[in-house]
Amino acid sequence: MVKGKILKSTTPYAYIPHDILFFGILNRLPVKSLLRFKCVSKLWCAMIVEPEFTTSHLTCTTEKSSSSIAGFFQVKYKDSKKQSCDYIFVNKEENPEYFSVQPKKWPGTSRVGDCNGLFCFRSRSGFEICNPSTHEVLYHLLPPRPPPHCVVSYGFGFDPLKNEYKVVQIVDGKGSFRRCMVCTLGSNNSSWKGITVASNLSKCLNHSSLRGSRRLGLIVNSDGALYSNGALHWYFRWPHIVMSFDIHYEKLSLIRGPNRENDFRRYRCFLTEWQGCLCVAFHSANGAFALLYRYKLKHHDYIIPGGVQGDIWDEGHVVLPYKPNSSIGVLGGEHHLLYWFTGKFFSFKLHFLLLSIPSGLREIPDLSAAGQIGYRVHWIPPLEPRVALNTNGALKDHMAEYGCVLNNPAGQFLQAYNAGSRSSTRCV
Amino acid sequence: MKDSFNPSIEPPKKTVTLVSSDGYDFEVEEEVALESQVIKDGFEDKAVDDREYLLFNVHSDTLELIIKYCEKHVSSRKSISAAAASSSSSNGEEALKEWDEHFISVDTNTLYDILMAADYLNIKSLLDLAIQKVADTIHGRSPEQIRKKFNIENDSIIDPWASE
Repeated sequence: MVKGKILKSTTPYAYIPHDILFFGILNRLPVKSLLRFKCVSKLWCAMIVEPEFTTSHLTCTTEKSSSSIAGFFQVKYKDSKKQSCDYIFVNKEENPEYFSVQPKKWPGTSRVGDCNGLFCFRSRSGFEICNPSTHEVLYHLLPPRPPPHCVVSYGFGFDPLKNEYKVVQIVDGKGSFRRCMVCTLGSNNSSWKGITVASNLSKCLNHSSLRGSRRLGLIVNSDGALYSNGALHWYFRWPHIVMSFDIHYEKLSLIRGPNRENDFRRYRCFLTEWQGCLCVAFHSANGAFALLYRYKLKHHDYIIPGGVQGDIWDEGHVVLPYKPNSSIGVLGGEHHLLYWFTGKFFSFKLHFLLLSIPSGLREIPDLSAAGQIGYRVHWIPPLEPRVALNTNGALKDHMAEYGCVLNNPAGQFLQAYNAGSRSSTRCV
Repeated sequence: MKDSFNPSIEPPKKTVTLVSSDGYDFEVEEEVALESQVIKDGFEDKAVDDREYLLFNVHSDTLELIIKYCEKHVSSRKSISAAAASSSSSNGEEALKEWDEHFISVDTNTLYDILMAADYLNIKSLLDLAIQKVADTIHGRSPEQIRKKFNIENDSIIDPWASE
């Protein structure tokens, strides 16, 4: 079927009642079309940005969403100092799509996380929530700076029960876990508040067998927590624990890492989500193979390291056809895992591999054809990116607007919507 | 022993009469008519001999299509559950999907009539099918085409390329 040429007749429809038109027909349209249709009429525009509509649209599209992977890359071009953020959108059947968003909209700071297609970035003093499709940004301050020599990490997640977005900070210091703070966006009082750590968890976290007198080891995903199943996850490489933060209940808990972590001490390690499960992936530095551990349990309960019998991680392994060297990333989806790595340090050439278990590896040539990819590869978890709509491009203090989230391959929309301005974007 | 209930002897199929807006009578099986939530809702309250429904909003042409749709769905649902009971694999659902696809490939006016009738009679699966079809036909259109399609006056103040 050829897109856009399905129907030649221009016979207009007779009157269609609004509930069918908006909550039936428009509900099933992709965001790309909806944003275009905002200029059909005032009524349409008002309806499309209506929270009630966007919520029902989200529900409708989530139900029938197909499995897909979206990669998000911060790119530095070889010939200049400008940076831009690129999306790479991959799904099962089609070729990957590759496109950029306006660089000036994006801060050159580190990524915290993403959720429902919204991205969270962090700079020294504050954080920003960006909507790549509408180029909207929301600014917010970070909590007071933690004492020096602490391990600090952030996370950005969504509470589906209360329809709220939250930013979380964890701080681990020498000898003890310092604090966990959470900021609920869009609430009346969107300031940072401390989370009391349950006494048994705190005991466990501060126990000398876990850490000695040191702080916990490096966080594998130090950029930001992995959002999966309504919780944020940080993987502490030493002593092999996953710390999870339940977004709704605002509760910290610990999950013991895969049993064989000790054997892979020198391997690169990633935290990702695959088939809706939390996964820890190890990559050998020289030989080209990867091990994948999938967390079997779906709920997040207190699991004290060493105190639990039985294996809670499934093991699988794959052999990669290339030898990953410096930069390597992994992104999980429902059926596929997307791997990428540079063959040589800073070689400006990335290999992309789409891995579906058990059918095997497939190289994606189109992505590496975007040869100017530099460094700092970020990745996002497999949720289909969703696009929040707002009435106009103006910045809103309130996150409620961002609660209106539409489910959509953001890439598709961006490509169409920015088609006209794309060339100018690149020369800015 | 007297066998008061013998399942092998089926009772005569109960029927319901549907009357279209232009006055035609359609006699359909109860089961088929019950696909419509509207008919189902008030069904038990009505006397058995008074099962006649005047559908003021549905033309006979449309009603014929809708009855065809309901009959197909009732019969295929039976065959699917029968196949499931005998644990034999069947692609009944796929075949039904294909049939639906074919069924809904109609011109704009008919599609509109089906849509409105499905809404009026509250037949959820048919309404979904029709809505999806309309959505499919408009999703790649320009705002101007949409205005034509839905008879909308252009009062928009948004210029899509204003940001440039």
